[in-house]
Amino acid sequence: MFPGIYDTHIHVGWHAPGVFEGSRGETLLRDMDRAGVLQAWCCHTSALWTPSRGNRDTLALVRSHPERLRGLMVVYPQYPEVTSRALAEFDSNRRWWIGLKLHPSAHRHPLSGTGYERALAFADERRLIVLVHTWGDGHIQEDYSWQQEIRGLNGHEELRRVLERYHDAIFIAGHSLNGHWEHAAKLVRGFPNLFLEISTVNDRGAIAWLCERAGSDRILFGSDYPFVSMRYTRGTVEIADITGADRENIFRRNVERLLARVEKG
Amino acid sequence: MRFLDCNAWLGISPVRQVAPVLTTSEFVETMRREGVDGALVWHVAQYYDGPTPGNEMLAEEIAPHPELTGSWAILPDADWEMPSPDELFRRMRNARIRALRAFPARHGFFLDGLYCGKTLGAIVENRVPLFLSMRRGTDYASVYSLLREFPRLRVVLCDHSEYSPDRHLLTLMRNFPNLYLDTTCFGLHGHIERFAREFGPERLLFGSGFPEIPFKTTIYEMERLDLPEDARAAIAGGNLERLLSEVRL
Repeated sequence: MFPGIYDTHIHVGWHAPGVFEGSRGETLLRDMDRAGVLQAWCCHTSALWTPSRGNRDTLALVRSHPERLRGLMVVYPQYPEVTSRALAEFDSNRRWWIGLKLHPSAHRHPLSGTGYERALAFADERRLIVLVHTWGDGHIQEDYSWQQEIRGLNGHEELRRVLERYHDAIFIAGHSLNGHWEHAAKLVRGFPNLFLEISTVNDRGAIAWLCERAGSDRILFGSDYPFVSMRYTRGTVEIADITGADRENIFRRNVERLLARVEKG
Repeated sequence: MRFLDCNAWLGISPVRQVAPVLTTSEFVETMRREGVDGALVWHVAQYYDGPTPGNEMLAEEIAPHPELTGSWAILPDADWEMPSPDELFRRMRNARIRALRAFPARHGFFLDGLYCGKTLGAIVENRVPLFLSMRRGTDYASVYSLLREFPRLRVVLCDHSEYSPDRHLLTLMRNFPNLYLDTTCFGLHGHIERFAREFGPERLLFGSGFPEIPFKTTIYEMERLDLPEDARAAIAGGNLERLLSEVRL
């Protein structure tokens, strides 16, 4: 029996530019089953876009499916008071949260900026997972001009700056600095607490290239569901020119190791 | 299942690729190895260098490979580079070209009746499908204007983003029955099935985006679609075959 995949990057909720059908709790679990995903780490879109709602929708969903979901708490760099309140409740709800989610381009704040300092220090002290939206110049950027305009907020230089400061938090580069594969591999080699997440890493040969240069023990499966099909992203790994051991690492072994470390604290 | 790819390109892009495909022979070998039986292709030089050199290169490249059919790029009617429709169709017939493409934003024109009326009118009458890339050279407002002016035009939209702006796609598909979508990076989770159920599988065409994206990634998903076998087969190749068979040159 297929032992199941850990998806380290999914969302639920609404999607302003489109129809987000199939991302509510009940359909999420069905889609996870169909794609062979055992556990997913999620944040609700309301947590990303509506600071006044904060992370309550993520928490409610995770609490209703604790065996399948873990939450990523969104940090708002522009609203330190909201972030402070959220972090104050993190420890008491620790069993639901796997770590933090930072989206510098959505929140228009550089990853190494002061707005993230408190949260990153918090994560570093607790050795938490920190999933960061990162982007280079991957192929979808041509129709995503905002990604181009604000890429500097979550590109490789910003990532390097925080990695130089925080050595105990586990950073996951969402989208593996999409398109800037050389920088992604170089940073992984330089910083043992950095992992790459492969949603939107669709370029032909890119996953094999990253396995060879960064090591499959530092690459995590993530789909960015429902923006991207979970099944399609699984396909990018299944068809990649890598070994079975590499696939095992990406699908689950690396996360199992991380979970052991996170649970230990 | 027979796979015919409606959206793959030949040549080497000036933009960096992890694994470029250097020759057309390599393209065809990879295609066979990855389980694709044939492809409707364009040449990346059509986009970057322009239709005149690119169309010629495409014709040369596909000539020795019968499993490849070509799609040429068009320009405005008044452009000295653009032949009359009759001459265009004659050349297409001779070069195994069965479809057309346009990259209006890249090539500096509007794809409408004012700029391209003669050509567009002729390709409507001759049922030549026109492929438009959402990544290269057009946008939804332009597609809407084009279809409003030429509702009988057979348009295939390609190269969608993963973060699909599906409010555009749903509205356009509901209102323009001659609009088709390819599967390259198509949509949010489950959207191929959703669009197939709402609009019929005959409006979707297998497209890979090769060589930027492997053939196999889309095939992996196609083989697992929650759709009946005949619907999957139609999307995989039957629909493209039908569209191309209805072309009159």
